[in-house]
Amino acid sequence: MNAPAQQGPAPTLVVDEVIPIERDGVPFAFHVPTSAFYELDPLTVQVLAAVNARGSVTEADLSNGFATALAVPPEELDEALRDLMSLRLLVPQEDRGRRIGGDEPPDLSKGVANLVMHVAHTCNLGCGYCYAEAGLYKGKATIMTEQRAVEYVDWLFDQADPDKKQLGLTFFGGEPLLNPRVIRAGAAHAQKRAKETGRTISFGITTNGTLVTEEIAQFLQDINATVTVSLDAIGKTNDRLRPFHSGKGSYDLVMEKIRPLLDRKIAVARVTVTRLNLDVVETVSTLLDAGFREVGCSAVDAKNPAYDLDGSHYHQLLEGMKVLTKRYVEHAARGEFYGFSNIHNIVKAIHNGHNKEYPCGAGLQMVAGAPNGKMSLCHRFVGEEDFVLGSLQKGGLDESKRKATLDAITLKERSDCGTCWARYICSGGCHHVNFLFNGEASKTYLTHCDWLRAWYRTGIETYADLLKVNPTFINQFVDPGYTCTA
Amino acid sequence: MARIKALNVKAQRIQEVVDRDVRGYTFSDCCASFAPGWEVGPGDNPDPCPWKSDLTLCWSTCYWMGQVPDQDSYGSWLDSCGNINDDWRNLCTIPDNGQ
Repeated sequence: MNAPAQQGPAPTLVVDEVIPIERDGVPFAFHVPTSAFYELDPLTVQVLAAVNARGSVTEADLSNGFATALAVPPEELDEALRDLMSLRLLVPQEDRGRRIGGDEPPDLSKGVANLVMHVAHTCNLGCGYCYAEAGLYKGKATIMTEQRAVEYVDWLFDQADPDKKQLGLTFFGGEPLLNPRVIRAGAAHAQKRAKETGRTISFGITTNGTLVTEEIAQFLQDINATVTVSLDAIGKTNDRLRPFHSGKGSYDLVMEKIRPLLDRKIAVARVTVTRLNLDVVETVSTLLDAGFREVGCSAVDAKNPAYDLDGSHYHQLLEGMKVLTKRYVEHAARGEFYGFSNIHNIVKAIHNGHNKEYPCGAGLQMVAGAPNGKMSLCHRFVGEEDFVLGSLQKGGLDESKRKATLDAITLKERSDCGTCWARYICSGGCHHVNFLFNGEASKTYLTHCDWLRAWYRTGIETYADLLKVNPTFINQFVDPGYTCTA
Repeated sequence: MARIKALNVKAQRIQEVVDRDVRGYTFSDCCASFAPGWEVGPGDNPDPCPWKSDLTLCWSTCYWMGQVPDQDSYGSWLDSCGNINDDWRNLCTIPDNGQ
């Protein structure tokens, strides 16, 4: 065989960690250690199957009848082997599963680029599953002062390396619109600092929608904010999950109040899926029809049997997400975008070959700031003292604690994930979900792993489908800089 | 790559590295200097023949552009020594035009 020159004894070759995918008779391979995605020809599929059937193949096997057994000319087999070895789909036994070309975590010494600012630790809704416990985060109802907001903005701009030209500020709660004055003050100060330092600042806000007015919608449009409205279902199902403290439902009021956001096309919806609102097809399609740009679903993490999902619920959720995915592909075939965020996000991840040691930017590129000046790993960990990484009063982040916290929650520390094929996409899942259910952020919450793997597989299949039905969709909606070779 | 098509961005990057690897080990270009220290080849694999890298990688992967003529101005500089097996005696310098 014409494999690259080797030194020492010829290696025993095995098939690397590869997830075979077939769509309409076309074979594909997702290579786990690199997150690379390939289309195979029939001979390479045949070779991989033959090596898998034997367990391994040696140099002696290759020179003694392997080609004959496969009934292919030796030169064609050489060509297939060369391709498979070059791309590491066939590897020496000792290299199986070796991660190569993974996305490196950002340099901690360059600070963070995003701050989630908790402007209100209180909420006018009382959702039973809320991890923040009605926005209180294990504390008393408080709102952030204007002075504190300005201090946070100054800290964000001062600690970020000059190389970080794009910074982000998210207004969060509780319900942030209970404190609109501080949102305006924080945004104005951030814009001033951005201008002074030659940076751009982007804004986001997550709201329950009950307090939106024409004036607030105009302000959010003026600062070009991404507005996420939390809505869990349609009508009475949503009312049951998202009531006011009086017990009265919020759906009709919210849909009326957010009209100025929908008219301006600046709102996306976030659906928290519990066992009480599993009909995501109705929810997502109705909210998209109502004028949301995108709608995304996220499984609840309540540690409350009245809300949490078990195996059958996850199955039902997956089926609904597959129906929405089909609509996404049908729209893509016509060159249109269907705003089901979950599939769009996983398609982007598969397209880029997402291969990470951390599931999100918590502590790496983003921290959360509470009204009392304490900064936490992320917004969900606010109120958990073990995950406080610093404070404004003490000059910012405690870098040794930040590093120690991040070192403890890297994928390398998650022994449960070691053999999972989806580990570099999922990276062990949400730190807070793991912490809530297992008591440790580094201990993977295994209950939803089957669902996640099935969903990631759907994402890979969908990516293959998109390349077939409309490759230009990738350039239009997923990655404008991409040159499609399919 | 005759039989496998790289589809996503990561796959295409890997293929680029593989293609570059292959080009690095062919005798298609030459360089009058040596680039010490190439003990490891592209792709993180032990380089089976680092001395070839000394001859080729300085150009094809832009290791040290100053060692070869500017390709835009002197696109034909390799014409007389394109095949290192046949042309190894030729120095392949660019013409001195007095500038």
